[in-house]
Amino acid sequence: MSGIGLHTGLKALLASQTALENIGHNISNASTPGYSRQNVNIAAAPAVLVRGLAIGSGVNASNIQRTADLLLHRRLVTQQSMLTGLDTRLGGMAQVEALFGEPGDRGLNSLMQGFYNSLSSLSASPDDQVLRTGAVQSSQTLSGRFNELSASLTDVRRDSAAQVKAQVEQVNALAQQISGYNREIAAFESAGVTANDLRDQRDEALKSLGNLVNITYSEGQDGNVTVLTNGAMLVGKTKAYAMSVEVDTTGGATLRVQGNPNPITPKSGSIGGLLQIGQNFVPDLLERMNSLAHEFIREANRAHSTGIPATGPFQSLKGIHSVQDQDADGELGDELLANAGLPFEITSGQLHVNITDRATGSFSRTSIAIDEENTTVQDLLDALNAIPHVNASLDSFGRLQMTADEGFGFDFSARMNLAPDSLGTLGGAHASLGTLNAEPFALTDGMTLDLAGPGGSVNITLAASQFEDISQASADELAAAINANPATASGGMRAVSQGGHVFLQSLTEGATETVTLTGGSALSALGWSAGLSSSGSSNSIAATISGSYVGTENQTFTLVPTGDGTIGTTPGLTVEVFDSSGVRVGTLDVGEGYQPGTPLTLASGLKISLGFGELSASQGDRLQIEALADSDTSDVLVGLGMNAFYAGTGAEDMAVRADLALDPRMLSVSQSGAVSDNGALEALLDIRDMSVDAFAGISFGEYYGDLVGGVGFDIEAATNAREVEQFLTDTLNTRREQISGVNIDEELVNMIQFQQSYSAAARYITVVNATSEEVLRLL
Amino acid sequence: MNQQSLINALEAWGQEELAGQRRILGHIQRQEEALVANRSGELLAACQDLDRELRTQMERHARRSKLFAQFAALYRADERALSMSSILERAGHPPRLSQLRDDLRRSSATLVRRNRRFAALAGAQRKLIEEIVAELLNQQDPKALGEGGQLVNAEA
Repeated sequence: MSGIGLHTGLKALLASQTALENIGHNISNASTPGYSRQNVNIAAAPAVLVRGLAIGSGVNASNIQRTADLLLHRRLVTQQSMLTGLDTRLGGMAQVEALFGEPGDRGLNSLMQGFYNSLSSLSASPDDQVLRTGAVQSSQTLSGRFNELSASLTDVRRDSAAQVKAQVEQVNALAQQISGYNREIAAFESAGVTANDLRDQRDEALKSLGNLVNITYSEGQDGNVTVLTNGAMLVGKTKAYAMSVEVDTTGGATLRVQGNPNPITPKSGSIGGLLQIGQNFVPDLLERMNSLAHEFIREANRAHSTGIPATGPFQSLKGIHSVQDQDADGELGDELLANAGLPFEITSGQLHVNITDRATGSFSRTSIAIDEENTTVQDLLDALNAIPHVNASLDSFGRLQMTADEGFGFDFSARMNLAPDSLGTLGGAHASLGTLNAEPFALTDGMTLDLAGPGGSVNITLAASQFEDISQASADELAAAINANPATASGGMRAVSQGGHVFLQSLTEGATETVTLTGGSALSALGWSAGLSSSGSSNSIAATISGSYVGTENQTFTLVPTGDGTIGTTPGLTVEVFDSSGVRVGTLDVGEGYQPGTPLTLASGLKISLGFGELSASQGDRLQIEALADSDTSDVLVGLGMNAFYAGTGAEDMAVRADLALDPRMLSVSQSGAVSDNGALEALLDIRDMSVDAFAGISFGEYYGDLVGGVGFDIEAATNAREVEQFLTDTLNTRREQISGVNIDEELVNMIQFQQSYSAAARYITVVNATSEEVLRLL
Repeated sequence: MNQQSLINALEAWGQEELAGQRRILGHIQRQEEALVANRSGELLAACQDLDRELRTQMERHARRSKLFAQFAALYRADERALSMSSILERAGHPPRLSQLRDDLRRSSATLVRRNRRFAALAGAQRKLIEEIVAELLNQQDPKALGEGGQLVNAEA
């Protein structure tokens, strides 16, 4: 920085003062005959000797003044064009800024807060009908505002296009006028007289044309001006070329000039300003508004789709998004779910479907795997129809519709099964023997199992045909193979599978029920040994879950007793807890001193209490507890619009789902169906602070803040630019007046001197800019 | 030096910087007026004054760097990560210094804005003159004028 200064900044420039004076003289003589293309009858003034060089003392030259005038006019037209363009842009931007109405009660920001506030109030009293209606209404107000903004922005775009259309007519009229002046001036001046009035009128027409669209023009030797806009000839030597505009339904405008194959994009003038508003500024905002609405709908629907409405599990439900026949073969079922033309992305994951028995309140859960590369629409329908008491199909519009049998209901919630040991695999009242080995089981064709149950002995022979790969047999396949033999049931037994283990159980409960492994070649592959026996009991251990799962990922906790004994009595009796990856996450001390029924910490916010009863590690007792953070990791519900909160896909068509708007009881408030549960509302409220991947990790509020702030920033930048352009225009006007009243050659020499000064000043401009910005950065 | 004495020194620097910026703003204003009024002598004079002011600003810059290094040592922080705001945060937002920071922020922003405006004006003027001279001399490339040599007086 120390090298900055006049010494280095001006020395080199000012050292050549003599040369500078020479330049001045040459400029003076630029109008002498034979030097310039201009024909001026003025001779150069005598030169004087300065430091050994002949320096001209200057001449008066009215033609030079005209040349300077012409150039100044040309620059003024350009300057005025930029100013008009900026004015038009600023007008459009201000209009758009007013549409957003921020900050204010009608601003989207305020309405979003209103939406969250209404959900928050309802969350405190989830069974309050009035608050529920209020929440739905605030959601409608919010979506209505999105619609309104989208429509208003689209209107601004259309209006801009309409104005462009009208102004193109003016462009063509002015181009015709200029062409007419060209002819008249040429005819007039061919007689050797300058057509001053006509030239003034043409200048005015050029100025008006420049106000509409950026132009460049030049005057030929014959007095004609040719005008170009964005490289296209608008006025030629003999004729004007028509400009035309095509406007599409969304307000998109394409400009062309006759004889030019490519569309043109004016950068300044009012048409340039209108195009920047209508073709760039507004479409960009619309895209961002749509993106905001799209992601908001996705997250709201994600939270809502897995909730349960006040009316309880669904008897029937229909999606709002239609599967599209992408391959146009007339079949919808063969479409890949992830590529079925649905508006929201479906990825690989799991969908959990719960079926509730309305009579008992008990429910069972089925998990459906969605593979984005393989799962078709029909695969999903088949998987849903395989769930007992559920019927699924596509309606005539390609929307998924599901119904439950009478007496049953379904939902997609992540609710916990509060009584998880429905099969009695952990100290149930049935006699129960669990395999000590887990799947896959290394079986071979013809292996046998010899069993004895309450109804008698059973000999089972396993066939390879009962397994996909008998050497890698799954627990489900083995249980099915055992149950497939009618003798199993007649022997008073059944096989159930859970967590990769098979449990051989008595069909009935009670202390007198017994199952025994009497032999067979398959025993060792299952971790069993001959003679192993289990007796039922008069009461089952009541395993009860309490608390809420706070984990962020879906987990399956496995409970395995460490020994045999009686809960609350046997010294040192414990139950170990393993997570999905097999890591032990806790140990439940249920031996001597434990009061049966007392809740013990399980993991991640969950507790479990075990009632009185017998546990047996040697008989393979174990229990799996599924804890879901997200019951639809595939987003298939969002994609199909099942139990959606918002219909639509963007700002234009966003709306509260029609049946929900009509009946607020359809609003999902809980994740368990319990009256006081507000789990689904909490999930909806989480949207407020969530980091949105599509927005590079910022929240919805921040994204909208950036969007509105961006409009303000653009306006400020355009205002600053306008101030500079206005200043430059004013200065040009001043300069024009100065040139008109003085000796032009001296003035030009003066200008050349200025030119040298600018070079010095330019250096300071850079330094002042750098130092000021550095100070700003340090503040 | 303890924090209070460093804060005092920072305040002194801030006051000087603010006054310096105001003077620079005045010089730019003079340059602008000279340019618009077509007074090249005044433009040169304003450039010379600006040059002197920028030299003193360089001295302040060096003093500020040293001061920030001392703050960094005191706070055991990376000097490059320190700003006046972070210092204010650590010092519990002393009111006078906070006000000074705000004034400096406004002043610097105005200076940047005004400087850019002058840059645009000077650039446009320069281009205009180049065009006029080039047109008069029937020269295709206005920039070539600055190269010198081709405009030798025919009578010399």
